[in-house]
Amino acid sequence: MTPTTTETLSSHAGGLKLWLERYPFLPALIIVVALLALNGAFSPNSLGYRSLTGLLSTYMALIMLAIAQTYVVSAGDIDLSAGATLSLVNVAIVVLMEKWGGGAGAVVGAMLLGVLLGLVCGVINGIVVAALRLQAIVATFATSIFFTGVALYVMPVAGTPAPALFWRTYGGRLLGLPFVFYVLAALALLLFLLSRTRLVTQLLAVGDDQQAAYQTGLPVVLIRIKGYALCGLFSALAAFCLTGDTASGDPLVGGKMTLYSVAAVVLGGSALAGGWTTVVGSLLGALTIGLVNSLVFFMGTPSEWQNFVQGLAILFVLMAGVLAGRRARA
Amino acid sequence: MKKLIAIALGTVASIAISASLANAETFKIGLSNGWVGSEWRTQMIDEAKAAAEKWKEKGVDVEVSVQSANVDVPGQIAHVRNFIAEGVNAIIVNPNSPTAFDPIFAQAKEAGILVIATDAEVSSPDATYVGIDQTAWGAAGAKWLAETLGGKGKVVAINGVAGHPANEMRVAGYKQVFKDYPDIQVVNEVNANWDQAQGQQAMQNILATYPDVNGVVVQDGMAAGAWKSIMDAGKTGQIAATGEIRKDFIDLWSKDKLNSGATVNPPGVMASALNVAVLMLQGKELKEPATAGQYKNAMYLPIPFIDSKNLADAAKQVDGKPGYYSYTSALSIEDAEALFK
Amino acid sequence: MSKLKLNGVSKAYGATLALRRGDLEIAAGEVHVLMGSNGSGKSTLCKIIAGSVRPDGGEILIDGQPVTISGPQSARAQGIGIFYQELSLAGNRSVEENICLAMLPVKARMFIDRAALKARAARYIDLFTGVFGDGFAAETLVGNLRADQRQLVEIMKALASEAPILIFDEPTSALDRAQVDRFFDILRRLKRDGRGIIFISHRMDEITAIGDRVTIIRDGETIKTLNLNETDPAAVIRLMVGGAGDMPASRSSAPAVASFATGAAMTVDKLSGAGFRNVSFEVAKGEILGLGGLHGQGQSAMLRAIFGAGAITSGGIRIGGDHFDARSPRDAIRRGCAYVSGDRGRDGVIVGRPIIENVTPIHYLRDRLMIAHPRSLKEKAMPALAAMHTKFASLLHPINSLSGGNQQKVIIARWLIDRPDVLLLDDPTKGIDLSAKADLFALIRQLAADGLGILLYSSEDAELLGNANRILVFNGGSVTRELTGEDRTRYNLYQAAYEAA
Repeated sequence: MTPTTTETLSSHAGGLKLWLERYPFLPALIIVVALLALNGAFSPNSLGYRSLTGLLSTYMALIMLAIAQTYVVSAGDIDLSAGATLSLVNVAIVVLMEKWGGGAGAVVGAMLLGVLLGLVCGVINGIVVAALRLQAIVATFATSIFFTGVALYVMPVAGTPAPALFWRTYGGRLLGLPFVFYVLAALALLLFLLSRTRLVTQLLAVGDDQQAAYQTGLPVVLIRIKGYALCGLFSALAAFCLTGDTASGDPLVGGKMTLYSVAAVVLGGSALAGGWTTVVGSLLGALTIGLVNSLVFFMGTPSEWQNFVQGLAILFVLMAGVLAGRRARA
Repeated sequence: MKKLIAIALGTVASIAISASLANAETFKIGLSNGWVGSEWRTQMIDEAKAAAEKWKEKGVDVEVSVQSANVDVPGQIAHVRNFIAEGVNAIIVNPNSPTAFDPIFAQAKEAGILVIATDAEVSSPDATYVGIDQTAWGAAGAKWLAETLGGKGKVVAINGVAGHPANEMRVAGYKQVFKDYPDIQVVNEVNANWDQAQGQQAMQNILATYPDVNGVVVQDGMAAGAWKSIMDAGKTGQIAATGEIRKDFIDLWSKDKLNSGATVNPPGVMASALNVAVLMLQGKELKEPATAGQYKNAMYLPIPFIDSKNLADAAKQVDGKPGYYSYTSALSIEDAEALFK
Repeated sequence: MSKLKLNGVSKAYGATLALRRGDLEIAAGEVHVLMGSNGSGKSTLCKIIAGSVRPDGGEILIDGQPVTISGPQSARAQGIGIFYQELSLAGNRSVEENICLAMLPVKARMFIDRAALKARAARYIDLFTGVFGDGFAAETLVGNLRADQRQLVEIMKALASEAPILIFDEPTSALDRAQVDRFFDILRRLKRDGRGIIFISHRMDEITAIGDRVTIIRDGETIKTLNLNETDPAAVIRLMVGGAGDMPASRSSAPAVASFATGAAMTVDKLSGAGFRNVSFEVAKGEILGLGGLHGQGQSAMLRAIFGAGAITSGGIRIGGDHFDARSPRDAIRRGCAYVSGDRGRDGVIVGRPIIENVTPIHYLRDRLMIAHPRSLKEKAMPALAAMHTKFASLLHPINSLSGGNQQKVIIARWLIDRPDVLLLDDPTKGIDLSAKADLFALIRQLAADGLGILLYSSEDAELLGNANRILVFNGGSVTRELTGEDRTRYNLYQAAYEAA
């Protein structure tokens, strides 16, 4: 690149705009920091080491699910079956671990099969949406019912406990540090590697303008299927975190989480229309949801108003983030 | 020198604390409810708050802290985490999942917090369940129906949400009872998701398919819907069906002389659980340890039953209340004390 | 041997034949120009070669071998690169990513090789050093670029395919002189390398500057291929126009000077805005004023701006005697202005709603109706629909149940309940059948006779020549010529349209 071009770059794009283009999750980060400060102001305990570890281990599942959602949103798609996939993997691994005796081998084996199951769910969604060209919202809503049905077949009633080895590891410590910190570090590495892959760039190009991507010669159908597969994979990882935190199987556990995952994606600063997404933002978006819920309680909101205030707070955060982003990028 | 002062102050402080404890005990109790889709849950919270107020007369200061919102399972786990961070003495949970709370309850217990589940049983060995036995609840309605039908006839069941533990236990309860009545034939079972409208729809379909049905086992709010269909079809006198406990239904029941019987799942369960919790916090011991149920941690409360014999009493209790108000009962402080040594 | 050969390629969309018969032969080392009027099938032909449109018939040969091009991917694999007129860029990706998007360099089979990507993109960006203007860098997001810079990126992307056969479908429409010169230098070099290049432009000077041979397309058929140095622009235009080119405006044409009702319906003075500049004209009451020229030369942009749906930067409009500056279509409608677009889906039809609701919205607005009785509405709607010979079973059927032509009739009928003073027609016959067209123009003339001032833009020259009393030819956003009386010939229209802007 020639020196002239670097000079013109800074003069063209405003400083803030450039920052937002490079780090689109900045508004979400500011919001998370502000929410942490508010939580701390109302309840100093909530910023303790133990509380923060707890926050992370409880919301790690939603973080994973929001990231899963981000990859399909990148390509302009959506997956309303992510929560059902999570439930299915959750009950499947719990049943398998129990069946195989609950030892280390059983845990690892069940997790491998869980990953595979998540991928299969994702590929099914991808084929239905991209290859059969059904509307993503409706098609994945339908597959969510299907996956829930399979989960109910695998485990008709919530209840089978996961082996102690599994959840004691997830909730425990390794070399003096809480295990979730390792999970977070591994996730960060995984996200970093994924951001460098050709697939992610292709997903974003498809989300940007599907027709243009097709005319460019990209295998659009295949790319979208891979996006759903990636979503299935992260839904399975979300199921591992959830199983670690809840130590049991529940065929209906993920249903409510699906829309939260979509909300987290948007709160993080991604465009639901596709082409412009940030996985780090989605991670922060999931934390935002968790922190808002806690804040509403620590503020001493009367119980009959808690849902109202939660909804209002999320709406407010959404508006603040989206407006700030829009103004800076315009 | 400084050290000495510190120790002295510390001693004074601890004396002061124990002195205040002797005068008025103070307990902080967290109440968590993970679903706010029905008035029953609202009434449950209100009754628990009222029960906490009552302890003032006994010289015990019970401060309740409530988290009640529609949340998923991780969201309710976060409720418990918040309570731990707040430093409560006891947590009472109406849980969204029977098993998912095992790890977090273990943490709560580690932090020295008493954990009680109510309304739905939990598998955690670190918690105690105080509430009704849903299996017995299901059985009571079925038993009334079987006896009302004279031990024979065609029966249908309208159930709640498939896979929900309380529903599965209630289903198990009525199945157990009908086994003892070989002439009762269960011709169909449908799920109507504890939704009044779906219950009405399901009953319409049933009446169309089985015009000769004699009895219906139906749960909670779905009963009002089912009865609406029965009345619309003009079969009020020919069919016996279980009922429910909201004022609206009880009024209808009295007015139209329905052939009904309602097992009560009182919204007062959380108030009962609170009274038990305070006594436990006071260090009292149960006469019979809570070891009932599939998870061996349950303490079952008596289940009231409304039929034509005591319908008038029930109607009197809910008289003047809004239509969604449920017939209730709870352990009073004295009732609860009687259970302890 | 020819690099690329097309034999009798055809493509139909439903009943419309987009390409009747395409025969084309591209030699190595030539720039082959495609010429034809709007909608003659040039872009369809290009898209068939590039694989984004599947042909219905005919054969394609590359280096003498018959091939099947199943999609853009397969076209690339067979050595075809294309510049799309509507561009194929991802707005949120950087310039360099867009250039390399089709073949992202990878290492370890999955990770993008950033260094290689940068190096490869730089090779094509550097070709335009000095002419791409401010705010252009390899890392800039394409969405932040100006229109001409985006067009340059699409050029670089096409070049990056390094394909032996390159198609450029109107690559210069937004470029300035220096950018075009640089691009032509590159094309000349590619020619020397023996590439076969298809080039489409509407600027006659560009065509003669860079082209070797020209193939003329008319009404979906390739007519003739000529050597450009053996011919002159007039001859090319004559071929595009066809045999009847010199005839003055034909069959049942509108009178050159009608006996207009007194006064001007609308006066436009030095109007400028996005896509058009310094346009002045007057429409008399009872006149049909045609707007001609190639597609996208500012006609639609101006009509939309007058209707309050686009920005006006300077100039003034008067309707009757009153100053008129509609801030929104709602405002324009209240003040007696009507607008009918050929893009019914975007501008007209309320999809999925009954016909009655599609006829009456303007009535609601102009009469400030809050509540209306269905029967009285029906009484108002029926004559309007009848005037258009609209065919429908019931007013309550959804509008989608009608054909395109009948849908457009419903849209026009909505303006007939309360008569406007000025009617703006923005290519109103796009995609409708012949009999509907005839009904439509009969009505338009009737409306003119009733004293409306009508502005008619049409991409079909015959419609303009047959109906307009005068024609303003747009080129590059401004009016370059006015055709009146005997001058209203196809030839003159084309010549004015193809003149260098």
